[in-house]
Amino acid sequence: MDKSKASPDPTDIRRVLLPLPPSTLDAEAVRVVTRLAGQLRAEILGLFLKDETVGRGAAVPYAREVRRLPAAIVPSSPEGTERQLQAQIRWAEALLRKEARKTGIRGRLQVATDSVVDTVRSVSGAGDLIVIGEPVLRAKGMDSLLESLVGGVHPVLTIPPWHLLPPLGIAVVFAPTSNGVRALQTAGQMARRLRRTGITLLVLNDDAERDEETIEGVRRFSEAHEMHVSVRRLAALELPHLAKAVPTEGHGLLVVPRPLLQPAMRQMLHTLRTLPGPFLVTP
Amino acid sequence: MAETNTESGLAPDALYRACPPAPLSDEPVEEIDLLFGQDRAKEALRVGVGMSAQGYNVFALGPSETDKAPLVRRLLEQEAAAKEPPSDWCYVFNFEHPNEPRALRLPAGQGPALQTDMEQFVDDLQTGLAAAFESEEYQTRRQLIVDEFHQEHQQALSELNSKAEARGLAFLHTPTGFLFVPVRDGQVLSPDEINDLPEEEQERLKAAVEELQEELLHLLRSVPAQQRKMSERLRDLNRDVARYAVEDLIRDLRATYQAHPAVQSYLDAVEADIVDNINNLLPQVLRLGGAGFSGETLRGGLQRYTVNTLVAHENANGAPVVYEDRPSLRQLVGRSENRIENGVLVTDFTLLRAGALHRANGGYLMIDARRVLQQPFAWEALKRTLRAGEIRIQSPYEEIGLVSTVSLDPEPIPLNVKVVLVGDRWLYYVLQALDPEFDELFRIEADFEDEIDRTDESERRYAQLLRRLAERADLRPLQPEALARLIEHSARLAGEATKLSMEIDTMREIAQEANFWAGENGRDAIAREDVARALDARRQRAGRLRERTQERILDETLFIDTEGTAVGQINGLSVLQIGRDAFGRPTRITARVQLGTGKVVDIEREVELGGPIHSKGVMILSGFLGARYATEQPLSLTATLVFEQSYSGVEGDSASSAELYALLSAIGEVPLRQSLAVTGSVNQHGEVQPIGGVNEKIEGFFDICRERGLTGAQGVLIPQANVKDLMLRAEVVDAVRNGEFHVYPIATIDQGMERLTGQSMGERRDDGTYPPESINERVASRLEHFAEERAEFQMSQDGQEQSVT
Repeated sequence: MDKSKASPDPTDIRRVLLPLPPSTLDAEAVRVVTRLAGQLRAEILGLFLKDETVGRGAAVPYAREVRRLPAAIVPSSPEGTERQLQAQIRWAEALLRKEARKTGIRGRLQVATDSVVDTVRSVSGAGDLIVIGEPVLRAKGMDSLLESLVGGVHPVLTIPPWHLLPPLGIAVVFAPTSNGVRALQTAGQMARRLRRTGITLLVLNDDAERDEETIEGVRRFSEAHEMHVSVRRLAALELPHLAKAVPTEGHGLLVVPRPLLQPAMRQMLHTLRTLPGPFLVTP
Repeated sequence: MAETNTESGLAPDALYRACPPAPLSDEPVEEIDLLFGQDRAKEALRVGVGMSAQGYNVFALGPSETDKAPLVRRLLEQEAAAKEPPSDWCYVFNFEHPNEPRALRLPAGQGPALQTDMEQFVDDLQTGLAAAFESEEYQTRRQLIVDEFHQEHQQALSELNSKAEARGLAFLHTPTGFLFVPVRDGQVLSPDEINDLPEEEQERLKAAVEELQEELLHLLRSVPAQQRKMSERLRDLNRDVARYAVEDLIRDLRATYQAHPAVQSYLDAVEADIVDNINNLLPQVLRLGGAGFSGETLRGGLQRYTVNTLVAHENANGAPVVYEDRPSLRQLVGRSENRIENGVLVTDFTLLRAGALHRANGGYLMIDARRVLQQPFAWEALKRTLRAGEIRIQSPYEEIGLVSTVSLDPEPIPLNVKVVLVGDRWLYYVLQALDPEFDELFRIEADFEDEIDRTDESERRYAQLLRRLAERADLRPLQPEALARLIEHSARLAGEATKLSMEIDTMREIAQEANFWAGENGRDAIAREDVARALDARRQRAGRLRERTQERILDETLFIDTEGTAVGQINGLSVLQIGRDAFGRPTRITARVQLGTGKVVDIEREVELGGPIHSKGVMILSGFLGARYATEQPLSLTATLVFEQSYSGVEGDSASSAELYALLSAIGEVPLRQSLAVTGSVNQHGEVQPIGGVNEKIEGFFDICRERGLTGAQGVLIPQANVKDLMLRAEVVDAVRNGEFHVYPIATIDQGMERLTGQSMGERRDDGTYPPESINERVASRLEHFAEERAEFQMSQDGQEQSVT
């Protein structure tokens, strides 16, 4: 993808990036996210994160691999480990292409040797949506990883369990700022492409004047996108309120503009991760 | 009825018993007992229907034209109306033995209600389960269990990782497992770098790697057990949630059917099955979501909780009366249908279908006996079911061992039914003779009369019956004269003027045709003429063979004289029954005599064209001759008798009197009148006995004489005992009235011989002789002459033998 080419609409999602760490490579993740990409009418790029240290470790004379299935200790070698990795890459690539073909979109796999954050930062461009799935979320150091990704320039979507895609409803935590509007537009686009007829606006601001402005803005948005918008007041960006506010009890997607997570980004991300459903952080 | 026996034969009044129309005048048709005249059958039906003991099923027998089936059905319906509607029967899934659906008995009308309630239950169940298992609470609880497992696992891996780090090792993930490798400053050491380490350090690292590998191996080997534990906990969670979702729904159903222990037991099984099998049901439930009841719901796991109402009596006002007119095996005992899934035939309890025995259970089942015997396996299945007292649905292919794959074996349903077979009399007797089980299962025979006595009262009621039939068939009303004509024809059908035929089907057909002719004639009611026209038309339609036979006689292909005299030759009469038509046909019978040993040779018997009864009749002639003429000397003649130009079988003894006349004529060389025809059997005493088909025989000879021109000398000799059976065509009666034709009743051979010869037979005198020139005398003289000739011949034979020796 040509990063230099500016997208006419910064909220237009045109590609989905899916990091695929080999240790937790999940076929379900590929299927689900590819389908989502199809519904968003975007391409999908799988990022196979190859760890080069594994090959070096296998070269140690007394190194033995402890196999998972069946549980056993077997000799290891760099060559053997490399063959395993290549086989895994081929399998992932084939799966991705097949699922993309079924969905009618372009899909490919790219092999990277950097960390998740570095790889994403080097690969991503305008119009990209980064999807972080459950296996990655469970990995050690995920909080900082997520914080790093969310701190970038692209929206990041987290999916705790795969079966909660596609979302049945979409809620947007809204503040009448440029970020808030962008989040709203991103949510509106997703809703339209996922064929949802409406979204829920969770309004934080109590200011009466701002309320009128908000309502007017919402009305214009609704007319422009032919989308029904229901408005709810959100007392605070706190878990109990959020949990009740997200429609369809976990089957809904929560869209949050990143600035609202500041200054305690990590803590807020941790809070959001305790929600049963997915959330999308927009830049 | 006047019956004058004169020299010129019977009076016209004796030839046809008319029915006076006046008593049949048009009056409101009262509710007639359509079984009138059938007291024997009615009583038998009453007993058979009333007896509840096993084996007292009924066979209603009689000619097919006696309209038995509707009469029996009407009686059964009357009986059934007084009884309570029987139970409904349903089939449900058997959770312990899936191939053996269970039968549920419910009060009348409750079967469909239970089916509807269970369909609603399945619908609600689907929605309820989908909601429960998609709820946040369930997802959270499920996730907690999964997370706990993962966390334990991750924790253990994390601890291993920490241990590795503490020992200067890195814990790496490979595509298929894990590696422990030495590191320094976060970098994996290469083999050269490791070799450069002090020996002690190398040993330490190696030991640490091996120790951690073992520990990791132990951890990974515990994963399957932990996964099983996780699965168990997930299963328990699913069971709890399922139980919670089902309890409410089941509670309502239990309350609705609290008075039915069988349903309660079934609901217990349903609840337990849902809970035990929730893991298998979930994929379908979640896939369909809250879609509600649909065709897809019926397939797959939830289908097992539906109910198949096999037979219901929700709107019944009494016990059922079922007439099965296609009594195949499947129609009788039910069947298991199939559907195609993925190119394979499958079946289940929802595809069981009731048979006639199910529908009639608790009531009455009528079956045509001939039809059930014609259907493969049906008769055996019916008997087996009646013996066992239960209905078992079974594939006909299993009966003959064609199929041995797993199929359904539904629980049999107890049977309480009265079966009434309807059939011909001969069929009843054949079954009785050849099927040893028949008498045990059908102990009551309801024998329908072919005919009833003809009295003023029975004529009146018969007329009412005909009017009721006409009403039901939407025919024009029958005028009294038309009714009278029908009654007269009924007597003709019965073959006796003193009887009325109970062939109601035939009478209905005639009335239908008469109605047509009434329409053709522009009448609003059916007149006598219309009935007569209908009868003529029927006779005409069926008369092709009769007319061809007549043609052959008239064109003298077949030799029949109707004038003059001849010795040893007479016109006999026979009846041919072809299809619906029976007609009389004259046949020349001849006799020849020669010197012999006293044998009367029946040529028909010799060439095996004569049946045993015919042969018996001929042998009786020998007895007569011997008793009258051979008391003091043996018969010394050989006589031959033959039916001339007859090339098909001859049976019956109705021509034996004619044969005797021909024989006496041949012996005594006395000519017989060829203008007369004869019918009647004879016994050894010379008494003329009655025969059947007297009307047809008379009319058969009359038709020939009429075509050739009636001379006034022609007629027929009939047994005196058959006079009461006469119902001749009007044409014949008119000819008799005009002196153009005659019917002579004959009681003895002597009477007949005098009529045929115009000479006296002569009374036997005390000395054993007969008056000169009498027929007896001439016969006796001839026989004596034969005896003398024979004696002479014998003596000459003996003399020749002596001279030889």
